[in-house]
Amino acid sequence: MGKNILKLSNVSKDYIGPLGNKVHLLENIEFDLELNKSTSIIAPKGAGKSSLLKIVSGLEQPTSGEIIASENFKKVLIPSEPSSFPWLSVFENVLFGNKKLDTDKAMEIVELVGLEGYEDHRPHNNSYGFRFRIALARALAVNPDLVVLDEPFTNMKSTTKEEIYSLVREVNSSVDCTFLIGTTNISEAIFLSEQIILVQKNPGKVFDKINIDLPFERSIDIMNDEKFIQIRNQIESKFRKLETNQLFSFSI
Amino acid sequence: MISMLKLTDSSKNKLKLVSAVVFIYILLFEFILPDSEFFPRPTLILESLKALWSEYFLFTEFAYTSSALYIAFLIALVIMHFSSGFIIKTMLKFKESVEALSVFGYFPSFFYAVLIAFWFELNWFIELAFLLIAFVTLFWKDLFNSLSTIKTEYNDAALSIKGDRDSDFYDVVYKSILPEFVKTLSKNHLYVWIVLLTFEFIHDVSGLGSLFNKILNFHDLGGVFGLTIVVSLLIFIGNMLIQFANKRMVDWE
Repeated sequence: MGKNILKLSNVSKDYIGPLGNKVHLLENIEFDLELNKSTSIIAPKGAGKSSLLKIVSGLEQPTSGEIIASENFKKVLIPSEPSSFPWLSVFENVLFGNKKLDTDKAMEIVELVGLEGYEDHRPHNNSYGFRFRIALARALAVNPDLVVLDEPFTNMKSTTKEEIYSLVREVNSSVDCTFLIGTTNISEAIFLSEQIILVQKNPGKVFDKINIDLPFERSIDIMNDEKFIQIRNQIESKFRKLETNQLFSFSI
Repeated sequence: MISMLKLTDSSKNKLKLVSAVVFIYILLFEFILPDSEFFPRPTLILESLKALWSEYFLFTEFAYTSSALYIAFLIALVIMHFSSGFIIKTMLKFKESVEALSVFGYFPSFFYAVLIAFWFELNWFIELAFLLIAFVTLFWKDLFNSLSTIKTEYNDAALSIKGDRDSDFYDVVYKSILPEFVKTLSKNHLYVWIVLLTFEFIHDVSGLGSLFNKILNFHDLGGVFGLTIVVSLLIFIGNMLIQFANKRMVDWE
């Protein structure tokens, strides 16, 4: 059992819908995040995943419940759409959150995310993968305790996805920070995580948690591994057992 | 600048339309209906243009009007650029109050021009101040309207890294809405030209607007057409320069 760095306790979220109706989005969400261990939240579309990730990131307030973390706990959100700033170069993007960052350290981060040689490039019109690397480097530059990824892989090509999955694992192993990933893709969640939280819809609440018993060092080939497939089937069957047909919102 | 001179299909169509209108106008009012009371003969317009230059001191009036307009435009842009963070922060904080101010948008700009005529004796600096207020007000209004176009991914990423107390966050908001904002510059440029001509027409002291007033007093129909052509050309050139500057200001789009 690793060291807990963040705990969500009975987090609920209500909001007033466009027609003036009260929407009960999230109900009593509870989970812990362990240091340096990646956690994925799998939930169908519309289950309040993005709101939950924003609450964890401190961008939204829960209606009730609390988020317990140490003082000065630093969280950075990487949204689903490319968020690197197109008016700044790659290097300026990296320094955005930490202008005092040592140039050598900034270069180390640039190299870690695979952007060496692109320091002066502007990210506009570049691929989703390129822009994600910048957003990741910009996040790492502020020495975060937690990096929250809100489905940033959805629009990437499959080959890019594979590269980026490996990059996230590599960063997770070489930098002292934890990842929390929101996704609807079961394989992605298994590959990237040590822990998976399954969330159902209407209202969004945790109905199961699964620890991923796979080696920390993983290559993409592991997706064809028998154990990997077994975990995937296990997760699929858990969703199937739910009364609603929520699995239709998933990809595997 | 060279790329600006390359004609797009849309510009070619506009050029063709203008050429056709000029051709038909010459044919109609020079040869078929030369004594029309409603439209002057093209040769009369050309003579009026010469008179505008020599007798109405067109260049002096043009310099008076355009210097006030474009200096005010540039100062307003600089003010907006350097105050954007503070302005956006204030607008977001007092969003509902700012929205309520939109009621003043229903007042015709003519009213403000008349009001200034009541309060002040016209000189170049009063005109500059009037234009500056007009541009800054329009820029802030459009900045506020552009806030609805902010890309949430930039907003969330900056907020997550910097928080809403940091000036860098407001710089991200400003840069994020800048592409929408610059699209309104041409519209504001044209609008302020019309307000300015009205303003000078009412004051009847100096400037191209006052020239319209004088020409009207002399019932110089050819002069009205000649001056309108000059003003239209000035607005057209101004718009081209603004569009060129827009591409420089938002070079990542």
